[in-house]
Amino acid sequence: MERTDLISERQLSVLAFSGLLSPLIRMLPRSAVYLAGRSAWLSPAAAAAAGAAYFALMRALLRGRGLRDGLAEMAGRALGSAGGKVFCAVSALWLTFYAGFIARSAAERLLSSVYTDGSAPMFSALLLAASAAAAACGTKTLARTAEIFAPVILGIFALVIAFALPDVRAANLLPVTYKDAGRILLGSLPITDIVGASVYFLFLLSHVEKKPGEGKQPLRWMLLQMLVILGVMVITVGSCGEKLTLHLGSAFFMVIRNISILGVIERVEALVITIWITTDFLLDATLLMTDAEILRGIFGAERRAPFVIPAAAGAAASALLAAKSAFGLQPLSELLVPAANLFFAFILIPAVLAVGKLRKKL
Amino acid sequence: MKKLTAALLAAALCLSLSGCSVGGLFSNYREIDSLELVRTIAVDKTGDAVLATAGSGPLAEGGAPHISQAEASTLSLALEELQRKPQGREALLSHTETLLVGEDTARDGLDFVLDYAERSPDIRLKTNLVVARGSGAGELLKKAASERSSVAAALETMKDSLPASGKGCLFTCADAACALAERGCALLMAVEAAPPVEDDGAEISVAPAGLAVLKDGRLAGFLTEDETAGALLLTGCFRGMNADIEYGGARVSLHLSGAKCSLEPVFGDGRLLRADAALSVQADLDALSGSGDPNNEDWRRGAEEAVSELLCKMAVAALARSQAMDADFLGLGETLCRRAPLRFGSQCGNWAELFPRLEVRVTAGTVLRRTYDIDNPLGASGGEKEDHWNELIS
Repeated sequence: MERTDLISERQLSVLAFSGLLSPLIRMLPRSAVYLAGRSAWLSPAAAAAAGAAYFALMRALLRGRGLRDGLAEMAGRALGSAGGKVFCAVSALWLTFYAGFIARSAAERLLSSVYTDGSAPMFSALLLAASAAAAACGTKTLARTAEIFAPVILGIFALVIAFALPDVRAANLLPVTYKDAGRILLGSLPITDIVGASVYFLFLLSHVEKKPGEGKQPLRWMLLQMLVILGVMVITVGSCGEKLTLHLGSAFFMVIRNISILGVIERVEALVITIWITTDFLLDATLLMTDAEILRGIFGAERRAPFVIPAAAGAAASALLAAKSAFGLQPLSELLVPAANLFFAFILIPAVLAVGKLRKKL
Repeated sequence: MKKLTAALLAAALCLSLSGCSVGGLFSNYREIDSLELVRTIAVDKTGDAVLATAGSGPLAEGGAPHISQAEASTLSLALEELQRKPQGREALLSHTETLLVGEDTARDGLDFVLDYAERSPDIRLKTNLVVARGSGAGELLKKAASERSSVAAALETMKDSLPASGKGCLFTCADAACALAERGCALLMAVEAAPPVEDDGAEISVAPAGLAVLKDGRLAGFLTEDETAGALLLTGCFRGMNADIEYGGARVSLHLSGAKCSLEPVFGDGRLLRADAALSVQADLDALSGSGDPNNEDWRRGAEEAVSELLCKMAVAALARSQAMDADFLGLGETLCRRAPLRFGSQCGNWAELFPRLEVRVTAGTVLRRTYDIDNPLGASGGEKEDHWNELIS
């Protein structure tokens, strides 16, 4: 293992913040509005509370982590060598598919928003190639890249939200009463589901240095992420209303198209597409890196880099074969992927760590 | 070696990113002077086909707007064909300001236009959606084009002047799509052909023609002048208007502004009894002919009441039309629900059934603020002003 390739907990949190914005923006606000209606814009607040509870649970379960333990090593200790390898193999398979799915979703979005005559396989392949190149580098390099991009991503989102606010109508957001609390909680499910996907990043914990005072970094960045999502929800539901948001494939993108900066600059969607692709790239690179890290552990190899290519190839295959068209991608996006994330983040991984605790191996 | 490779790769990237190179990443790069900036797209249905007419604004170098037409089975195909036509410049649709739809087409249904605006990477939902009253949209676009005028230029002027005149308001595709999705009806601005402006060179000019009502995606009718002003007042789109009233033997011209509308549901016996609409407006005296004394408080109160009556008349007209059409284009249901969400939810019952027969009481209040430093019109007072000062001094 490259013992010198260490990052801080803050850097891992920034990586999760930037990367997971991609699926969040893809799923929202539509899926939340579908469940929560007009009051969906408040769902990020409920998701923040649920996310904070989940982070606290995971922190408690990870308390027995050794200095260079990642999730794979901890699973090995918790389930035994064979059980750990089976868990890692299942996780690697899922992460390979997930990386491919993210690449394909990004490609479909480019096709439906800007490059209508483009090719989905080509865009998927390009994104995976760039991600694989980044994943083959050190963890430090990727984390530093995310650190550089994070303020840019935040800045662009802040500008977009600020300039879209004048189009927001209170009538589209209100009324919200205590009777909507149940629906708001329901609307927070897809958000919490994606927040839970940050658990995949725990496979990289073996590259994370424990530093005093960094314990709250994951929570802080998650809360910041929810704030961004809250802004996205307010401008989208506030501009389009509940029913039009459900009707449009990507209502957030339609809102961005409408933005006019002081009547001088218009059509800023290219800027947002760039940022969106950046988050896709960061997520895919991290998933491929995680995948390679798991494979390295399974095969007991010294270096991670050689495993990036098979991981990327597997992801490319799933990107191509996952769906023939955008229609085929929809059930994956709305059912399979959220269900699998839910299973891994809220059932399998906590269960594995809990078993380790019960067996006093962690 | 690593550094050299990195530098070479970076240099290679620069070549492909330039936009000028063949095979570069920006294959859709186009020179700006090879583009025709389309400002208005007129849409008409001709049988089973769609006729799209694209018009630019008057050209900066002088000359009438470029107008081009194409017909195809769908709007999307018609516009694609229009872009491909060899006409010197490529039509750039991404900055289109207005989609103008002919009256017959609008009566047939606007779903296909909104559908196109929602799907197309070029058109924004913020594009204005306007109905051409009494004519085809393409015809209006062509006839209004001259070196000095165009539909685009006329609508640009209307954008600011309409809400301040009480004659209408420009609504966008997003407004229409949102309202149709939420309440099944929507308001749109209508324009019509008017006699040409002198020395303009165009066959016709374009004038506001009140608001058009869409119901279930189709044009269901046009509002009258009073109904339009009333609709603007009740929807919060009213910025101002000039009003002429006859009061106390005088003709009083006022500028109305700062309108506010408050809608309150009134519940009783466990149900929604009625809605109370309270309008308020500020009035400034622009002109006065005949006998009238703005310095007299009784006269001012009387004039204020006359203005309030006018406001009530306009609001009642809009409400009556809305109820007669069974189309809540004023968003009354949503506003009442916002005022008392819990009671509205439990006591309103079926809003669609209740709406056409709901009693709405309208009251209005006016504050006459100023006369722009003139107490009485010159020449009409017959020395009244001097008498007033003499009275004060004595």
